[in-house]
Amino acid sequence: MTVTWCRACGADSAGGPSGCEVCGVPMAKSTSSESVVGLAFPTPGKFRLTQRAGVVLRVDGAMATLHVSPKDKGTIEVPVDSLGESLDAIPVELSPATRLRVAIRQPYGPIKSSWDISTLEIRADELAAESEGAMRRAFDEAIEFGWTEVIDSSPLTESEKAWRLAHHAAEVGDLDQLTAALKRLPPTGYHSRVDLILPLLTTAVDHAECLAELARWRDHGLPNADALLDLVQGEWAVALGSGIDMLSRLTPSRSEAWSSVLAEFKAAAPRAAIAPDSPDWDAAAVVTSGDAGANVDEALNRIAHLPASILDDLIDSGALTPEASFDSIDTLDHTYLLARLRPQEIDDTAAKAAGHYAELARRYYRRADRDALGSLPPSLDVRHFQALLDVHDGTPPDADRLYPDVVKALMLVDSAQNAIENARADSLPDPILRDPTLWGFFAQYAQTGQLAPDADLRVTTPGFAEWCDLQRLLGLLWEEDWNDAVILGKALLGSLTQERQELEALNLTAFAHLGLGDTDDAIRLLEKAVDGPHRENLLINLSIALSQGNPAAAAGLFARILNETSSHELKVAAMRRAVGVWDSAAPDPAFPDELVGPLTTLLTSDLLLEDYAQFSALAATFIPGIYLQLPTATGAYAPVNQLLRARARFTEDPGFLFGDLASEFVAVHQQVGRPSWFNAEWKQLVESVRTSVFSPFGEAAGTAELIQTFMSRSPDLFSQEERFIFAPQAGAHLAAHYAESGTALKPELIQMLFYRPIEEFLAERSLLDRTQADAIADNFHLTLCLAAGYYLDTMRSGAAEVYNELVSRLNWDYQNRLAIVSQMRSVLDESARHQEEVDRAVDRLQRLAVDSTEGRKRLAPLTDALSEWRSETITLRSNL
Amino acid sequence: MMHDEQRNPYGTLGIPFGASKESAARAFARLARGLRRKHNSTERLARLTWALNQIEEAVDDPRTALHIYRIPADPGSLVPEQDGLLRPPPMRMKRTTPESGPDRAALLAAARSEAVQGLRSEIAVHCQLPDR
Repeated sequence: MTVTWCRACGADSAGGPSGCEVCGVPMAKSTSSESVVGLAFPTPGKFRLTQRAGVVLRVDGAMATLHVSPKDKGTIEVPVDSLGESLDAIPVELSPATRLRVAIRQPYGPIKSSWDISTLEIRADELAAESEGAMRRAFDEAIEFGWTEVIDSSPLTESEKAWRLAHHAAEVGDLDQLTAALKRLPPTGYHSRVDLILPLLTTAVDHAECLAELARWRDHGLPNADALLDLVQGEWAVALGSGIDMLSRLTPSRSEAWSSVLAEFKAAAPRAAIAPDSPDWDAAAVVTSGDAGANVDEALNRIAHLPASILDDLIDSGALTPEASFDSIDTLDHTYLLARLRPQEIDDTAAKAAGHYAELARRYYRRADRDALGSLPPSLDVRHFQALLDVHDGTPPDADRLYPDVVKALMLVDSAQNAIENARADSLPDPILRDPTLWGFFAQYAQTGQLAPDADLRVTTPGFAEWCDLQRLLGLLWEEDWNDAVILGKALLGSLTQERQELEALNLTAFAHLGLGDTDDAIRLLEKAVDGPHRENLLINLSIALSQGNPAAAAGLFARILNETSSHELKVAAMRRAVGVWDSAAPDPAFPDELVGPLTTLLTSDLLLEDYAQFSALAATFIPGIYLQLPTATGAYAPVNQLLRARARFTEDPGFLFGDLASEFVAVHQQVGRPSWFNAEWKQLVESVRTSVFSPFGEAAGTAELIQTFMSRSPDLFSQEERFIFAPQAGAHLAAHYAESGTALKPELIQMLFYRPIEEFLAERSLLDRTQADAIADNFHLTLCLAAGYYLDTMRSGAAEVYNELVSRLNWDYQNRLAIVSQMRSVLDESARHQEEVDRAVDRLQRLAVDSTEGRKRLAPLTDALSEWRSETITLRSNL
Repeated sequence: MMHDEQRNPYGTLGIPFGASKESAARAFARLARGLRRKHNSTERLARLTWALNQIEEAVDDPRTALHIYRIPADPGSLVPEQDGLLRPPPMRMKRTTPESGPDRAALLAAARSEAVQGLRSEIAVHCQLPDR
């Protein structure tokens, strides 16, 4: 490369054999060397037992002169070829002079060495001074090592030193060192000095000393100093222009690109940034693009940080639309932006914070929340939506408050309604057809058929046609025109485009089928619909259809309703309905399994007492075992639970007898009296008693025990008539039952079950209906005859057996004859008492005055038997 | 013909299931008005009266009246879901910021500054030091 200026003085010079034309210093460049001078090689030590390091001081031809130790006399000469590999401690790539200087300063390894430092220094200085090139190289290497003493003592000119130091600083990026070195340059010459600053341009712009030095260069007219100052300190256009000039000398293609940038900025319409890390330039480019009409939705993340006024410009021009992607702008509060572009994505609080009261007013209108609307600051929007709510409530439109387009639309609605009512039109104007929110004003006309879509309308506005059809189907149901409703419904099914309308069409058509009595068709349609939304209403409708067509299958459906609804009231209602439907199904079906779970769940929930009683009664009757496993109820439910648990136990527990059941009834009655639920149970019990007692005497001993318990502990539970019927019946059953085991009713029982009720009857007889009284009397007569007869037979047989034994004994037990006779008299006395007991019965029987053939037939054997027994007793007594 | 227990009071009055008592009264008044001159009006009026009494007296909570068929089951199916004048879509907020001139000028200045810095960096990258 041709050196065009002198490093020693900085002047431009072509150079030549005599050096610089100005200062005469040779312009040789820094030289390289392949010499081994300065390198260290291992040499054998004394007695060749050790090794030492010898440093080459000079090479003469094929011989190298090595300095090994100050103690050795002079140096040693060895052939260059025999030196071998140099020691690593002294880098080969250094100049000979620097090698020696390194040798002086570097520690060695295991090889023993002790050189004479002054010898090496002198030789290094000699080597460095051999030529300008060597000198320069040595100097440059001293800079690398930081040997300031070498730098300072170098014979190079001070300006060259400054130049070389500056160059090094520019290479390593040290702006402070660069500036310090540049300041030591003379004011003229060294024209390339400006280029030393370029690598550090980005930091030089903030370096005051560097800028001051640049200014001095400019003042001295140094080339490119002016341009550089423009680049670092000039106004943007000047800086860009200056920079583009500089860049053109470096990369012409890039300078062209930057020239375009300059033009764009001059036009205040920057385009894509061609420098990295330029967010504002990038954003400005997006804005430029948007201003030119391009859509910038995809670039929102690059401009979201800009002031809202600029974003508003883009929104107003349509460059930024609701389609803009907000995904990657998560660190900024973009509530305002959302309010402008996608208000549906901000909640009420955010809308309020953004001051978007118009949207809040719309939301409150949609929620029909007048209070919230009224709480907003007054505005045209608030007034409009308040007026619109009034329209929904039936108030005539208020043109002063509504938006003009809404007023216009409502006036059109009004005139369209008039036209239909006066049969001047059967369709609607296009503005109404295009706005589905206005169709509701014409629902009644669609229902009556006054508004009916023609074939053209079905093509142009299919949504309106479908809506009309569904309204008409509803209207046919209101008119109870079941046949036409079924025809229309069938035509709609499968043709409606929206699932929601299709399901409703199924529902409405099903109702029409029910109207025709086609429950199977209704069920079929509803079963198709129940899997869609609004299941609850559809399930209920299906339950109604099933209740009519297949009550037994309705239970499963009620179970679904019970399981799926979250409403407690609906669960109770569904259970009541399920029970009612099941109860009406014939003949006498078993309680559905599907309802067991829901029933038990309800019984542990909060119910009205009457519901609890009804459901408990159901459970106690049909699932008594499960009912008994439920927790014992407390509070108001406790008496109900006590009674029905007793009923359930009566079914489930063989050890829980009639008397136990009766005792529980008495206990509950004593707690709560006779509330309606108790009376319902009591009535059921009485009916079962009534069914049971009229059976062959002796076969209803259990029922008799039940009656006996009530008569003993709470006779007023029975009505008077029930007492008159049940008590003697119970007595007769018990008498027959006891007679089988050879025992008789005790007098107390006879008193309770016969005499007391008979006396009560006789006292009230005249007040009773004659026929009823005769029937009661006959019942008393029948049962008392029976009981008295059993009593007489049992007692007589018993007495006879004992008496006969005594007679036999008398024949041989002469020793105890007196005692035996006394016992015989006792037996006869006992018999007399029993006969008196029968007398009492006969007395009541006669007073019952049952003057029928049957009655006389009943009494005669008793009185005859009594008379015979009495005669026998008298005879036997007289024989003693 | 429907049996008595199958009659639907809401259907008889031509109002949706669960409609208010006021709606029922209005429907009754409207339908009864038109009956005067029609034959069989006595029977029809009796049915309307029955329907009104059911809704006013017997049905406390329509939702739990499980013996009454729901017409419609889905009231929303008869109301179009699209937006329109009476059901306006979300409203985009009107602009609240002033004219953007000063902000645009600031943005341009910042962009220019970045450009100058970018050019300087590019020169620094592409420059070559002169020979030492």
